[in-house]
Amino acid sequence: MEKLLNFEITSVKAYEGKKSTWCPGCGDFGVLAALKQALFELGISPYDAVVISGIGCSSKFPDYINTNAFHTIHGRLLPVATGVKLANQKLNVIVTGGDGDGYGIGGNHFMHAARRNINLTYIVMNNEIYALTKGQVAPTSPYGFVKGTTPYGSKDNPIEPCLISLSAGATFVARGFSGDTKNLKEYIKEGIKHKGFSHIDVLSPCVTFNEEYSYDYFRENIELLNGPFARREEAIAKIMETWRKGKIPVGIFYVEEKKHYELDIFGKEDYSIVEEFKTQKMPLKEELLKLIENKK
Amino acid sequence: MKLKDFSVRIAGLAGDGSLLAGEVLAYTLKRRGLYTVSVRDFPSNIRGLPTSLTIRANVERIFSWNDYIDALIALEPKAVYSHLKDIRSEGVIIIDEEFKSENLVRDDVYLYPVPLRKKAREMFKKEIFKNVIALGFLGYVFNIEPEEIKNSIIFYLKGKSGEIIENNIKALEEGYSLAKNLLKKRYEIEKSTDIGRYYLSGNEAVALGAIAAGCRFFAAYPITPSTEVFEFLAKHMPKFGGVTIQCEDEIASINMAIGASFAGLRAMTSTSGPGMDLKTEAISLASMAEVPLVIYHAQRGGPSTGLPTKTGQEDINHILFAGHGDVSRAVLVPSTPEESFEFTFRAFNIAEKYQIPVIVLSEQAVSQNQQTVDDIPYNGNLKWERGKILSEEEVSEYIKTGKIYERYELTEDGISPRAIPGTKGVIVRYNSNEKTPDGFIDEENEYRVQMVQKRLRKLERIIEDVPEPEFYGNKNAPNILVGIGSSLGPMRESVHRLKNEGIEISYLRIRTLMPLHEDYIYSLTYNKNVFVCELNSFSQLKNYLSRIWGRKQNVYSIRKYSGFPFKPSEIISEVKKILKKEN
Ligand SMILES: Cc1ncc(C[n+]2csc(CCOP(=O)(O)OP(=O)(O)O)c2C)c(N)n1
Ligand code: SF4
Repeated sequence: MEKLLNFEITSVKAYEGKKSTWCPGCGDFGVLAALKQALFELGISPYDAVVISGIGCSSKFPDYINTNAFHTIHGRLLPVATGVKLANQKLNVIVTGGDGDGYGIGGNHFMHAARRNINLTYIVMNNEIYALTKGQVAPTSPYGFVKGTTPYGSKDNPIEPCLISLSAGATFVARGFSGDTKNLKEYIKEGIKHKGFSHIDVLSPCVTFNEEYSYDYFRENIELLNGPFARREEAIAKIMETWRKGKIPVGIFYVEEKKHYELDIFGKEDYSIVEEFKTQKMPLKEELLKLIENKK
Repeated sequence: MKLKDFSVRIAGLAGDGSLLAGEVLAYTLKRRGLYTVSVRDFPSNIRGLPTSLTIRANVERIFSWNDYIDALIALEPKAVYSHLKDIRSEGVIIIDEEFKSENLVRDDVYLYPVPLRKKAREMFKKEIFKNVIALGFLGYVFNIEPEEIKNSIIFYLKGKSGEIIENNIKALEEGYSLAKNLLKKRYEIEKSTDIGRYYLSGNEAVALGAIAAGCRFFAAYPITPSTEVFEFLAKHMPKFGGVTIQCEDEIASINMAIGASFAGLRAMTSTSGPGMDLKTEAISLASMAEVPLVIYHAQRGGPSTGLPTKTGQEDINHILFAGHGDVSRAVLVPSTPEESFEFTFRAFNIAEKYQIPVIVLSEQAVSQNQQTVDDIPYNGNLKWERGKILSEEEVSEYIKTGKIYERYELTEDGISPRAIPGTKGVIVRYNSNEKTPDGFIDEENEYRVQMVQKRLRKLERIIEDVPEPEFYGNKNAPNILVGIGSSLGPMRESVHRLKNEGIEISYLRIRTLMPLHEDYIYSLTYNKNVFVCELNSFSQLKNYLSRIWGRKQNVYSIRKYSGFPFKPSEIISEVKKILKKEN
């Protein structure tokens, strides 16, 4: 691990965390490489970034990157990240997790984070499977998928996460492929620069539990859309159209400049309650008593 | 006749205005220099179901309602019958003359049928003013000058239109003049000097305590009986630079608070029963990742949705044991608005010092009922103590010496210094998994054992920082009551009243459920008859405390689970019954 004592980052190695325990060939490697490169190119020091994850193979992410980090619990990464961001907007908060984590157990938080348009970059490693628990269907798995807990085929229909975030109000929506880190890195960079909720769904093959969705499969089936589209409706229509053709849409689908949540609350950019608090003294008793007297 | 201690109940249907009349009365009494306690009984409904407010007043500080009431204002017919048994002999009932009252079975009370609705309709074309007409009538009964109540109305309706205020005052005066014609019995009540005391609910006190403690992040999901904390903070937190957020659910709210605390803020979430169930997993997270956190939990009655607006002490087991694995926590239990303030404040210091979740466990009867308090206990004893947070000098030490900062450093006292993410020179790595000192996942035996021991070491000294039990009465009394929360007032009165009946008894009020002051509790209760008073049917408190006593000691459980706090007489009669049986 390169020590960062003078804050000058001379190579992407500065972001190197622990050696990963992912299976050789896991799609998540590509995402990790792309994120590290994106942070490096944007000049965001590891001290100013926080990577927050839930639980899953993909959520081991914080261990493998040298930034501030919080490996939390299954599906709750977005609320934790929201708390961090509201406390200190100066931090670059990157949220990393799996599709089960984000679209299954954390589905409600996903919708609400998008609706709030809080300035987070949410990268979901979508392998269409629950990997860490050794291969069960995920909300993104196809109908009829035969896995450990669905020996007779899954009876649930898959969701399209980008349509969910788009309709919930996310202001940056993209899909990348971990086999194409060059483009993915660009999406992540754009997502980080974007002020508002950025959702980046990444096709990230699980080579151990999901043979059906291999690198080759994705290479053959993805279709790069000519985004971002000017209107939300258009992005939604284009995505649906692509699926209907039997192709998986990738690319930056939608970008909207809109007042993000923290700016709306505090009325200014880069406000940090943490810093503001450093200068605060304990409230005077009179101030507290005034609050009581004004209660009615 | 002069009354030293008296209680009034205003009862009607939700929407009848009992609450407003009660608040105005309580405020008037406060200005007379009296201490008041109010007990709200309201349904989980907005309109049309029975609602009442009981106000008790005394020149001395009181902590609970009494067994009886001296006067009842009944704004709907049924209220007369449901509260009849609570009225003491020679008490007063004010009802609408339109109610049929022939089958009132008590002839030892003064009954006044008053044209409340009729007058309201005549004067204002609106029945809603009936509550204030009745209040005027009551004012005359108790010899309270019209001016006194008038001032309170003006205070309470601040911000309302001049016409509304004027009409209320007219209604009040009408009540007085109706009383002058009808009254057979009049009472005097005490008067003292108003020394600027405050009329506060536990919830308001908790919110104030949080602001005073430097809490600047609050996330929650509305739920009775804790929502007033949220509303208070939502209004005032921004003035202190902080933020409140209404989340999609309780799970999000506690996790957001955890995120804000990780980022370096004092953060809090609040909830009640069902919401606490949802927060459980994150309590485990806060304990494991060593994130300081304050959780305010106001109990209500029943499992599931239960009794949303009524009181109970049914979540003791849950609060003590919620979470999987060995979860560290502290649990403080306030009884009064003053303690609600103080314990909330102290909870932040404890949470940060030991880097654990701290739960302030209240209950509806403490959180929503209001009491007159002399002052809020905000003095030199309460200071922001943020525990081991790396100072700038300490950080530059890391930078200079090239030492790597370890979030979970294995220290002697088990507490690892916290660095604030965003500080140049240190990488801050929190983890919900078992980990190495620098915060990377590690499930190997060596570090696992050391981490568990580190977390255990933290717990050893918490007892020095938490509120100790309150003992009251004669140390040599052979009997002792033990209770928490809203049982304070009823236990205190039982001690006096039982003494008058020749039974020596004291009480011990537990103010910290975890960690438990076991030695202290043992020494004070040793070889005595112990009566554990609690508002649940499973004897949760008694069962939890029983490990202190073993089987040799006589320990009895006095339980109530109607949704209301104890009345003194309920404790007294149980104690007498048990003692009689034993002899
Ligand atoms: C509350 C809870 N339920 C279940 C689990 C077990 N669990 C761990 S990871 C996981 C699924 C992970 O799938 P995904 O989020 O897609 O991540 P992947 O491993 O595929 O990267 C589950 C169910 C858990 N840790 N917590
Ligand atoms: S099981 Fe699948 S998702 Fe997990 S590390 Fe291996 S390849 Fe990656």
